[in-house]
Amino acid sequence: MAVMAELFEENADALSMDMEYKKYEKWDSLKMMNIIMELEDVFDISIPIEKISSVKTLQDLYTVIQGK
Amino acid sequence: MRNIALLSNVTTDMITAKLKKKFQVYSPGGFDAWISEVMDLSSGLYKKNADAIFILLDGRELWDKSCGEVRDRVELWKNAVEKLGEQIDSLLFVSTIDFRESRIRTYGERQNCFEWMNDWYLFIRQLSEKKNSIYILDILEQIMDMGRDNFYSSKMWYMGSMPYSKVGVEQVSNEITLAMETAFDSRKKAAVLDLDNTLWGGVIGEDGIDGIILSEHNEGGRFRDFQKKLLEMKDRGVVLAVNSKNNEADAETAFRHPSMVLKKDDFVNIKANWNDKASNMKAMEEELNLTEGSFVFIDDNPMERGIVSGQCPEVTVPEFPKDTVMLPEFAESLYEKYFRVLRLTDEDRQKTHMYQREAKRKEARAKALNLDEYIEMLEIKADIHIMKEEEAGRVHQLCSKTNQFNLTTKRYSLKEIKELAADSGTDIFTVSTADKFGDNGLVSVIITKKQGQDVVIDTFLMSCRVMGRKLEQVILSALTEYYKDSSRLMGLYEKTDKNAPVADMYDRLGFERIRSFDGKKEYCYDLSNTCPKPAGYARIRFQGNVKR
Repeated sequence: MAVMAELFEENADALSMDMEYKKYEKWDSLKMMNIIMELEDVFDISIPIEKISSVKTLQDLYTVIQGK
Repeated sequence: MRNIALLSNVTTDMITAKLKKKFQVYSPGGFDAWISEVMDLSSGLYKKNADAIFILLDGRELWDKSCGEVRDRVELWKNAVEKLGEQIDSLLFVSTIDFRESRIRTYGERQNCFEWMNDWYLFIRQLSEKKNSIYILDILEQIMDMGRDNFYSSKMWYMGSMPYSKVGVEQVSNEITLAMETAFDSRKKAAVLDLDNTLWGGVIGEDGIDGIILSEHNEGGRFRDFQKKLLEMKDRGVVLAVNSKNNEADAETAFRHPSMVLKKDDFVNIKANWNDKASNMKAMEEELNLTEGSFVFIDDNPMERGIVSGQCPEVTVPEFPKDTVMLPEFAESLYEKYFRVLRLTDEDRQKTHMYQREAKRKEARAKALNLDEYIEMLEIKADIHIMKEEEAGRVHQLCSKTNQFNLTTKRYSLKEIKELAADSGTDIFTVSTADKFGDNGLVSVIITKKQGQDVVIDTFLMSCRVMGRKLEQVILSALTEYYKDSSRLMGLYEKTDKNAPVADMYDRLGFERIRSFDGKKEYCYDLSNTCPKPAGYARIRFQGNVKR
């Protein structure tokens, strides 16, 4: 999604669903905080911290958001 | 771009990210990293020499802690803040702290958080009273206004020691940005107000003095409180003016309303007529001798706002609150955004009087036959002397704010001005005038630098309220006499958008133009000649340095 691309400061096609948290250099803990903060605001949702801890790939993140 | 340092005990990356759009930011990291930066005199903090340093201390790490634990941490913080205050002279903003106690306490159990908040506040207050470069960044006020639930995010805290929610991040960044604007940006000078449905509810010309909505309490109270806020602004150097579609007589009637806080005398210019408001604004610019960009125009009518912002694009025209219960808060936010300064000088407090006296002078000018006759009629007394220590604040203010009568527009910081004053190769002269109608105060600053056998005029500026009285000739006359042992007086003009009025000043004063390039003009004056004083001045006093 466009929102993700903006948060990672990349082109949408540079992102892939199996990008791994803490392995992909731009996706560190600080970026994760930033992403959660923005996603909660943009989509007006609240993501429980348990769900966040279980996110390992970009696909996992999508699944969590879609669940809301 | 100005540069700032942000020291904090919490993660500030998201705040820094926002601030980096406007400033260069140096932020050494959270928890106790800032303390090491402060204690180590060779750290990046001291090398960076930022324009302003912000210490943002958040109380979240102390929430639910025991009295003893809080006391120890706060002691550590106090030592570090004091140390930093001693080491640097640039602006230092220290935040207030939100302390919160565990709610696991019996109803009767003693609460300590208020005492901690107060203790910390008094500590920074006392520092800021001792050193006038230290200020309080009131984050606690923001938290109280918005509520902890909105300001903080437990999620962000537990994920990465960042206590703030998205809203909190924005608020803190905004406070820091506003503090920088207060300290460094040029401020607006005048608030121009509509009358009907702005200073009171209803229309005076139709509803009459008994029909307008304005009272001590209840619904009319919102307009009264709005007026009170405007009066508070006036007491802090903002000048007020009226731009209203009304008969003058009706406007006068309104001022007699028992709940009218603002009186006719509180305004420096009143335009109650049936002309279009843009023309009124332009007339005001001329009458008050202020540039268009100095005005903020406040009107409930979007059409009028559109007309003024369309034809006077430099005037700031904020949106008017849709719900007028917000008027008092609206006034506060206008003040913070456009008018607030770090400190007031005595001149600021007298602004309104000064403009009113100037209006009387203009009337006198209209009656005089020519400029020399006008000058004589004014009975002007001019006092030129080497800057005194207590004048540094006003000198700095003039250097920062003067646009029209400013030959080189050098914006020195207060620190730089004090350094120039102490430097033996530089002289700073201040010029103060008074006339038949009153005291003008300190109105002109000249900074000169020795360059071999020549003397260079680095800065020559004058407050617009005393333009057009040949004061520059008085000044030059004093300078040519004072520097007669040097060979030449060098003058420089650097063009800006606003200083066209002085483009030919040196030519008119008899300087020889040596060269022009890139919007700059360089001049010299042969000091074997002295420049004559203009006729008509009642008294001119000059005092140079006792030892040269």
